[in-house]
Amino acid sequence: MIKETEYVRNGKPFRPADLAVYGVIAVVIAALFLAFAVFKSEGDATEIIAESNGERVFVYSFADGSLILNENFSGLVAKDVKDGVYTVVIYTDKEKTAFNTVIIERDGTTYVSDADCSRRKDCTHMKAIDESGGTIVCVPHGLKIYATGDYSPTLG
Amino acid sequence: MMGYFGTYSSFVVGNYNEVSENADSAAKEIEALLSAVESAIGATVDDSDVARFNAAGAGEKLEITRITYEVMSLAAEMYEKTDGYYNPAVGNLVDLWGFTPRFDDPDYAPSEPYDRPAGEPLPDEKYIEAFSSDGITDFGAVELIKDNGRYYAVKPNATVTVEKTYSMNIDLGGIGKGYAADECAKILSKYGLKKSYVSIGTSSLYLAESEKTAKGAPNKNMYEVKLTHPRESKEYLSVYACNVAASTSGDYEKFFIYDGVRYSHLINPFDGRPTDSGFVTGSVFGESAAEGDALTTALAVMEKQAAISYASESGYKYALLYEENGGYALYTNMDESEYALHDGRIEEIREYSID
Repeated sequence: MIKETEYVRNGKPFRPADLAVYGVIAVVIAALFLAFAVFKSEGDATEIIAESNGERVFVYSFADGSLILNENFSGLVAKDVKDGVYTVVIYTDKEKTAFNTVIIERDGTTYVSDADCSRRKDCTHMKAIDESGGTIVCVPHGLKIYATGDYSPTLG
Repeated sequence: MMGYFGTYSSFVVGNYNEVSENADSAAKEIEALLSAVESAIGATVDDSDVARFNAAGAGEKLEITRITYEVMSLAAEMYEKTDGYYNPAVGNLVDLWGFTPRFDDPDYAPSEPYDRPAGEPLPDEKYIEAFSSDGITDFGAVELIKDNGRYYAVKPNATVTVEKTYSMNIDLGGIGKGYAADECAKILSKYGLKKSYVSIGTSSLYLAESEKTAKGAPNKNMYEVKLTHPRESKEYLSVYACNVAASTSGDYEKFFIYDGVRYSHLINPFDGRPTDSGFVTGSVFGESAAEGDALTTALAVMEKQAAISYASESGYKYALLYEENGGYALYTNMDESEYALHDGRIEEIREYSID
């Protein structure tokens, strides 16, 4: 042990081979830093939120597949789960005359399957929301369903 | 997220915590702007300038807001520039084909002599001919006046009579969203929000810079703009961009299918019918979202080769998707590093390979 210590003490602080190794490590650290600092990638969606006339109705989490309903809507929301697929019927008025049926698949893909909002039912034709983001809007019913945590703008 | 123009708009700031005060002020200003633009030109706002213009008699002079004056001036410029392919004076035709908001009303009831019962979606030829006649579709004949800080529009004298008498009817919805996006860009700049973007109904965008650089982007701080597949529930194309305005039009926004034929809301002003050029969707990236909105609308109704030539000379980057040989073909002048195509079934035709 003493010999080893003396060897280290007496040796040059850096031998040429050591310098080469330190150089490689420095290059790798710099490359990793650049990779993270310059090319950090976009985040994916983490949750899907449904709002009726500005008030939150439910939050779905992609992480654990949980669906949390707002108790204020307990009389206006009917939830059913079958084989991991949620069917959520949201009434957007107290008289329960206006509804949208929201389907949340096992992988979180969310879309409106039915509604009584207009003749064309535009919300039922809107692109499903998934982990890459998205928004579904039913203007006549004041319902919006959107992904959060998604920073990528969509066009079209 | 804010609800205007019959759709939703969003304003996203990258480093919100660092600039929260400015971001809050900008959000309030953006919301006030969108509200003012909708009140001025909104198709569903009863007393908007556009509603008053459409309800006015031929030859009538109306006082309008500065916003409407600016949007109509831009529309007139693009009408001229696109040789009439972008034409906001197709309002009567859009209504004839059933694509105006009144048809979305749950309490809809037929009110015009040309309204058809459900199951009979195609309009009478005599109306198509009348509503595409030069007189009531000549947007260049609209007189716009600025006088001592007040603004006016004079409706052209032309009318057509088919059971009832009709005058010019305009729709500024498309270019209006682009105008709003361009005005929002000024607000972002005013508050120094360099890491942000604003989306008006997902058809008009202004992108500043992204807080995070998108994976695969050729340059730092670029966003990945995801373009929606026109027929499927996924993105078909990613475009990497920043510090630019973007606009899109597609035949999937409003349409119906009858006897196997798709009829979209993109009406050719020259023949009065939904476009049959094979155009499915088109997006442009460049200086102005308002110009881009008008440009994509014009490209949608031009013949394919004319559209590609026109887009090439427009100064905008473009991605135009056409139905071709039972599949899809993407025409673009973007550099390979500026986009990623996610659907291998789509044929890529880059500008230098176009005959």
